[in-house]
Amino acid sequence: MNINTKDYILELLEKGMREDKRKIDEYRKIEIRSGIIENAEGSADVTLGDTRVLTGIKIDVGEPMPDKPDEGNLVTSAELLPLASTDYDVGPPSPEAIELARVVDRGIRSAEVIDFPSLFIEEGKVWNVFLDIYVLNYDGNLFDASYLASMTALAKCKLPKYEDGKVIREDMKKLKANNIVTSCTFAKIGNTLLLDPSGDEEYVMSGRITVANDEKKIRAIQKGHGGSFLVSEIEYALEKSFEKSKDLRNILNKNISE
Amino acid sequence: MPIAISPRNNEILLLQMDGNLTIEEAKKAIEMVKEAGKEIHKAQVRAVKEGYEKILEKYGLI
Repeated sequence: MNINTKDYILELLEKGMREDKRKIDEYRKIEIRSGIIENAEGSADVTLGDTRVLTGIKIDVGEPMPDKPDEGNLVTSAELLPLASTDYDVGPPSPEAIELARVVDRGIRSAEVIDFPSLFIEEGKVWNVFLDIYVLNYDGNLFDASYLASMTALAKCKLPKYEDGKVIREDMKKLKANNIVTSCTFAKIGNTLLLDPSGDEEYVMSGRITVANDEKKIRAIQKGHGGSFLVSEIEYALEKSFEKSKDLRNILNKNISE
Repeated sequence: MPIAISPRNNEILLLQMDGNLTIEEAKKAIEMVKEAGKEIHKAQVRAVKEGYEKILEKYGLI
């Protein structure tokens, strides 16, 4: 980004405006498509402005964790593909990719979206749910887009059958998703918190906070990127997150029920 | 819910949480950290002072 864009964003913010004419607490256009990968048990493609995230869920038989022998597992991974941004390279997962996968994983786990005991098959065998997040295009706010994509894929996910030592992927039943969790991410620029930061805004921001919640409770919080927040700013983020998550849940519910 | 606070200006430097909390509970936790942060800061200052006093004493400087 050039210096002019940075100054431009800061100048606009002094007047309470944003580059794309949004309000400071307004989301960009959200579009969700589900069931787009034929070979995956669940999948979703979410665009949030120019940010585009694809998630795929694969379910397979595996061994349970030693401390939870009668429960299935969730394995979340995220990949920031080089085609998504000039800042991303091929190679082992970057700290950003690990953070993204961890925050989404924590929210889904805490909100008890997946009923892990129901993924038990027989002794030593459980269903493992592999949730893969692929960032296809980066223009800020990967967290909220990834939450939306992951939740859609999970809500539409099918569970294979296990008969006589074989996995049968025909006439699959739905995997039960018990809850809906969404996240709201804010970028701190100057003394303002901006909802759903764009790529340019994330470049200028001093700090970032993501709040994941369901209808009633906060399920995960992640402050990232450095910088510091006033207590009042954190409280604003918590309250705004509950307010805005209603819209996100409506969008999700509409797509899930289709 | 680990929270790190700068006791001089009460700004939150680190905040991470998972599980389930209501807004009120989260706000209460942050309020508690404001006070607790000051106590920990006092203890840190005390520990540093005592450490250096011991060294100064050892070399007969005080």
